[in-house]
Amino acid sequence: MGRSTIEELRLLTSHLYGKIIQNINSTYSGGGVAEILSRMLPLLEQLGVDARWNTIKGNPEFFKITKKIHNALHGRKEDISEEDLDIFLEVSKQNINELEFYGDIIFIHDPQPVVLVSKKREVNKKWIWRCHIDVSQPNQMIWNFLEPFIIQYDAVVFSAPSFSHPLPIRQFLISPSIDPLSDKNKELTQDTIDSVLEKYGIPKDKPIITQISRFDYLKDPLGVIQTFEIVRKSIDCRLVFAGGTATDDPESDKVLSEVRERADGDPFIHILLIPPGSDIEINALQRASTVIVQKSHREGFGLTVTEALWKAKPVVASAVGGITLQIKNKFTGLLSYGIEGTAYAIRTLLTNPEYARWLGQNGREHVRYNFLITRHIRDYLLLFLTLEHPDKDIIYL
Amino acid sequence: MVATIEEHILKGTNSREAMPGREFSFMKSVSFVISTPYIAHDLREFVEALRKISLGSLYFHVFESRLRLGKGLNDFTIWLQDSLGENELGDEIARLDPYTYTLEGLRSTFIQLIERRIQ
Repeated sequence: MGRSTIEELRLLTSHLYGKIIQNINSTYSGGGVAEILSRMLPLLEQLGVDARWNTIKGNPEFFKITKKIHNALHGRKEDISEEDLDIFLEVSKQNINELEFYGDIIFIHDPQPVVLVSKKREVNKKWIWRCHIDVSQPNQMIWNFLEPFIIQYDAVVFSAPSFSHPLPIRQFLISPSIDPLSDKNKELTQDTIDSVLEKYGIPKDKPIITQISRFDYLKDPLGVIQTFEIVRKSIDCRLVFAGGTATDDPESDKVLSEVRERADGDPFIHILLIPPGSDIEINALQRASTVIVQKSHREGFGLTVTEALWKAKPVVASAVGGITLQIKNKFTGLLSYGIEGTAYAIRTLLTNPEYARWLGQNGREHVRYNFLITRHIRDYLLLFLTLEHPDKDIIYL
Repeated sequence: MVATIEEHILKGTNSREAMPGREFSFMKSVSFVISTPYIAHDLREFVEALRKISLGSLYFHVFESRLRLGKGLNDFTIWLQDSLGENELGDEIARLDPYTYTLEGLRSTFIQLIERRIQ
């Protein structure tokens, strides 16, 4: 990142002087949204932007329902009753009453707080809904339920073109990002990497295939194990499946126990529950890996893919959601379809280390130019400025 | 473009479909044009600014200008020729095919050409 990048950001922020950007989501920790906001807000502050962050409140029942809504938006079949939707609306109403809407731009992240826009008529201001998840093929019932709220926003932001829907409001495409200086992405010494491997009992005797993701059916953890078993028939290797949980994801414990049961007794499969905040450990596991996999059924963007590419690792990932923006097939990684296809791609990389290295280097450059936090901040600043100039395709500042 | 594709479809030889996730998405853009603090009065100031401007600024003056001016020209050539009378240097820059360079590569090439002229 050069001086010109910072200067460009400062030029843009000068046009937002005095404006308050109020971010609202459902959790301060766990998952990509909280991670991005926690890295981005201090940088915005340094640039002179008054960006703040609030979260909505909800009981476990509310978050169980929002998880079902999340899954349904990803296209998964979910049993969502009228009563569930009533509870969702009731808790949203409580949040509307309790939250103070002080921002000039109210920036709502993901579906959990989407109903807050009902307050728009009263507080006015500009409202943006930032949808971080893959809504390319949503459950139509739940999309129809949410759409009357979504269309009240001034604009909606998606992470990939395929998530766009016919809506009467402006839609923007903004990819998420990683912070290269964060604990999760900064360079590590070999000693640090080795100590993390030692801590989790992972010998360095074989190539390591890794998937880092939450314990979530949408990340297909059982499919990853099946894939590994196919690969291992011809190549001696280890599998590391490491992830954490989030306060707004009540399903992860169930998934974790199923995964542990499936992997039970196989000394070459390492299932690791990583506590929140263990960013150095995630970083080390990624850096220790020979190949990184992201075998998701759906993926809002796949920041774990971005992290792996930034570390110049060869990546095999499903062609879903925002992953196709990151993996340019056979140039920055390999896109895969199904268990057999993923196994084949992993085997290709394990048997062709030079090719794997070349993909990894290309991936790192792709992230450098497209998915670092400075580009993300610039896009958000431009988005905020766009709201001041609705209906214009060329804006002179 | 439409006619060519329709003709191809009518031949009935291509029924291939893109794999899921690899479809073509049609996009629309919003452009922002912002003044930067860099102003050049002569070649020396110009080359110094060229080292400092963002790639976005370079893109605007080299690529976007080709569409905006509608003559396949870039802003740098026009300024060098119209304001400094540097016709040869302007032509040299105009003759470069910017699509065969990376933006950083283009910046370096411009700088080299201008520095050679200054010397």
